[in-house]
Amino acid sequence: MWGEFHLDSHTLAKIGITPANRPQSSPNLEATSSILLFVIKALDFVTVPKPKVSPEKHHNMGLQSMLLYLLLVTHSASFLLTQRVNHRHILSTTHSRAATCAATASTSTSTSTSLGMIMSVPPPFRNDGKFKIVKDALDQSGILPRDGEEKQIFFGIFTKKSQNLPDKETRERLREEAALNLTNIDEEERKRRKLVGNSFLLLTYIIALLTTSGGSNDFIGNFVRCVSCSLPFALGYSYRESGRAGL
Amino acid sequence: MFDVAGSIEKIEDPRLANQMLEKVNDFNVKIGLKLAGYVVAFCLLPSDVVHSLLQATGVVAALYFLGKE
Repeated sequence: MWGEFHLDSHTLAKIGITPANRPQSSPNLEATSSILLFVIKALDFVTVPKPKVSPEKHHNMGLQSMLLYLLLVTHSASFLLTQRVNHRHILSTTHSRAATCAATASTSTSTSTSLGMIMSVPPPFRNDGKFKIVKDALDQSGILPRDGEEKQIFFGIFTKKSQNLPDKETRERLREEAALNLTNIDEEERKRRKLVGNSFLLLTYIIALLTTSGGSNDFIGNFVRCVSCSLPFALGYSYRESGRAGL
Repeated sequence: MFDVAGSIEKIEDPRLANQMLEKVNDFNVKIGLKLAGYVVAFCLLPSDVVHSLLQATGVVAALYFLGKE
C-alpha cells in the first residue's frame, strides 16, 4: 500500500516518451514540477484516504487527479517520471474516479489513454469465469430482477419482492461491510441457508442409517446407499457452507 | 451481484466485482472437491462400518445438543 511507483523505460516508451524526445530538465521546469508535486503531497497529507472499500467517499481525489494529469501532460512530466511517485496516488484513484476525471479533462485521446495506462484502471467487469454457465442460466431464467425491480434472494434459488428496505445510510453501511468481508448475501439469507443445509444433512443422516441398518455389503446395497445419500448430502453441505461463508 | 442491503444489486466497483467472482468461483470449486471426496469415502466404506460410524456420530451429536441446552 505504501510502496512506490516506478516507470521503467518500457512503460515510458508506451506513453511516447523515449530518451530521444524526453525534454531536458531546466531549473524552471524542475521548480514548476516541484511545486505541483508539493501540492499533490500536501493534498494527500490533508486528505489521507483510509483503506475503505467504497471509492465514492474520496471527494478530493478529483483534484489530485487533475494535478497529476497536469504533471503528465506538460513537459514537467519528464521530471516527475524520473522521480519516485507515491503509489498511493495511483491506487486511490484507480477506482474509476480519476480515470473519469482525466478523460473528461483531456484534450487529447492519446494522452488520456496513456494516463489510463499509468493509473492501471481496472478493466470493466465480465463474468466469464469457470461458472459462466450458471450466470447464463440465471439470466435466462428471469429470476434476476429487471430494471427498476427490487427483488431479494430467498433460499438460494428463489427470489421474492423486497419488503421493508432499510434506509439509505444503513444500506450503504451494509454494502461496505459486505465489501470488506467479501460476502454477497445478507444475514437473514445466511440463516435460511444454514437451516436448509442442516435439514438436508439430518435427512441424509436418517437415510444413511436406514440404508446401512441391514449391514449388507453387496454391490446393489452399496449402490442404493450411495445414490440415496449423495443428493441430500450434496444439497445440505453446499447450503450450509454457503450460509457459513456468506456467498 | 450483491444481496446485502435488502435487494439484489449490481456491484458497481469492477475491482470488487472481480474479487467477489474469484472468491465465489474458488468457493464453488473447493465445495465440489470436498463433496466428491466425502461421497467417494462414504461409498467405499463397508456398510457395517458406516452404520457404526453413524451410530457413534448420532450419540455424539445428541450429547452435544443436550449439553448445549
